[in-house]
Amino acid sequence: MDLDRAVSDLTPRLLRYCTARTGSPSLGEDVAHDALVALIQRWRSYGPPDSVEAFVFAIARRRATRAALRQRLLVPIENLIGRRDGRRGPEDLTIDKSERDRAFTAIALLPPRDREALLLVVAAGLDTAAAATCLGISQSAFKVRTFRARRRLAALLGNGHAGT
Amino acid sequence: MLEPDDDFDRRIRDWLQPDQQTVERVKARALSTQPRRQRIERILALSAVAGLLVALAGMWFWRPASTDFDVFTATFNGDVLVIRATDGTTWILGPESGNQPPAGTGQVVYQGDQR
Repeated sequence: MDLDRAVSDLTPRLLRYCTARTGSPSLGEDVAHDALVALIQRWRSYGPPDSVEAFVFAIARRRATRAALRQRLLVPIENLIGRRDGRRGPEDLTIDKSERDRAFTAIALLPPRDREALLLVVAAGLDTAAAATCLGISQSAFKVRTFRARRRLAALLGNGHAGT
Repeated sequence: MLEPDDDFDRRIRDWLQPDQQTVERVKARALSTQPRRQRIERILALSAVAGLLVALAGMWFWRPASTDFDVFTATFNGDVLVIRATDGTTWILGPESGNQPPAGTGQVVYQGDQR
C-alpha cells in the first residue's frame, strides 16, 4: 500500500473517529490532521509502520484525549473572560437539532471505556482484533465493551435498539 | 448476542460522516506538510545565514579605524626639519642660507681611480 492510498483510506475514518471523540467537527479535524501528519512523517522517514491503522489511531486517541481535556479546561476560562457569551456559533446553529447533534450528545454520555471501544469499531472502522490491540485488552473484553456501548447508545437515542 | 448490529453501526457512521470537501482538505493539508527533519534543516540553514549576515554587519560597523595613510617621521636637526615618509621620500625644510659656503672650508672627496 502506498502512502497516498493509505491517507485516502484513513482520512474519512479518522475524521469520523476524531469528531465523535472530541464532540466538535473543527476540533476533530485538527486532531485528524495531526494524526495524519504523524503517520506521513513516520512513513517518509522510516517507511510504513507494521500496522498503519494501529499506529494512526493510537496517535489519534492520545491527541483527541488531550484536545478534549484542553477544551474542557478552556471553556470555563473563556466563559469567565467573556469570550463565550453563551450564544451558539454558526456551526452549532447549522447542526442544531439534527441527528448528528443528538448523536454527539448521546456518544458523549457513554462511559469513556465503552465509548472508546465503540468508536474504534464504528467510526474508525477497525476490526475487533486491531481495536482490542489498540486498547490493550483481550478481544472478548473488547466485545463486551462494544456490546454494552451499543445498548446504552441505543437507549440514549431512544430507538428501542436492544443491542442484539 | 455480542455480534455487531450493522444497521445501527451504519446509522452512527452516517451521522459522523464528514463531507467530501472536508476529507479532501484535510488530506491535502496533511500531505503538503513538510517533514519535520526538512523543517529543522531549513531553520538551521536560515539561522546560519542570518548569523553570518549579523556577524558581517557587526564587523563592518565596528571595524578598526583605517590605517592606510602614510606615516611620516619628523626630526629637527638644528634649524633643519627632516621629514621622511615610509616610502623613502625625504623633505628637508630649513632657512635659506642665501650665501655660498665660505671658500677654503669645503672638502673635495674623490673616489675612483687614483691615477
